[in-house]
Amino acid sequence: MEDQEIIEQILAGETDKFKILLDRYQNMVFSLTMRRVPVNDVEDVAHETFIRAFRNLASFRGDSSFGTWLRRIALRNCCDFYRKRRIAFAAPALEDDEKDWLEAAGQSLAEAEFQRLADRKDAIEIVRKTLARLEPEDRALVEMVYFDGMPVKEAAKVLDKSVTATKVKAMRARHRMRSIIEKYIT
Amino acid sequence: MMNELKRQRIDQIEEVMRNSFTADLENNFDVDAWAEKVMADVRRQTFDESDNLRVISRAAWFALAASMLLAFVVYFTSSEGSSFKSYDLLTGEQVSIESAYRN
Repeated sequence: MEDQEIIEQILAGETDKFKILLDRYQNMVFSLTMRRVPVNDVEDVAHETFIRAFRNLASFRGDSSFGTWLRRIALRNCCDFYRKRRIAFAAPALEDDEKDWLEAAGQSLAEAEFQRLADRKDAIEIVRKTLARLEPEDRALVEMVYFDGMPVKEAAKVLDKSVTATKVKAMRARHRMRSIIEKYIT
Repeated sequence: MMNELKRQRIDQIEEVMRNSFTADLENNFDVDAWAEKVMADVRRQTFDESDNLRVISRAAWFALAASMLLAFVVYFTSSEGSSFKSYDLLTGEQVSIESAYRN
């Protein structure tokens, strides 16, 4: 059954049909969310994404696929996660082993050495902590445009901004991230 | 450290960060239990009717404007409204517009 058909049934009152969409897209939402928020918050953020999608289902007009629409909601939700917590929490400090990781990555030039560092289980946490020093929107842009390779046009839709403004903001965000890294290179 | 070397190292760290970010992550979550909770929550939700509310709000403003216009027309076509009140500049007394012109 096509997504659009399921959506029409849900909107007509067959709420339980939402489970089909949940099963179809939960892996995508989990995968995207796991990269962006701390492991303890992944379930809550993914939960919130599907609830937001359900509540706004009537506004889904089918201009893009349901998957693309849901992905946008998930990305915006991850960005909101940091916006909401910005006041409550300062950016976590890098611990010694994390500083070591950055320094080692900065000093080693061999591909194999990079691979070893990238394969480390805590690498994603280190990346996250480094990115936590960026403003929530800057962070989202770095993740979407430079890490995920998302077109600026699509990132602009996620953040509800113009393409030009998004392009400029993404470049500045990347520059800020590089400045953060630079501090750890001697 | 020379600037060029420093730039290269930052490029490399950025590459490591990108690789870490895009690496496949193991999903150790109990997705079935999670999905149950989501569905339980979904059953309690209602659709966001903001679009409909906007339409209702627009209709309400239209109705208000139309009723005001109607009241305006009724007032000025009624006997009370048809004789505009004005003030006599010399005496300060309230007079109808017809008598003000007559004077």
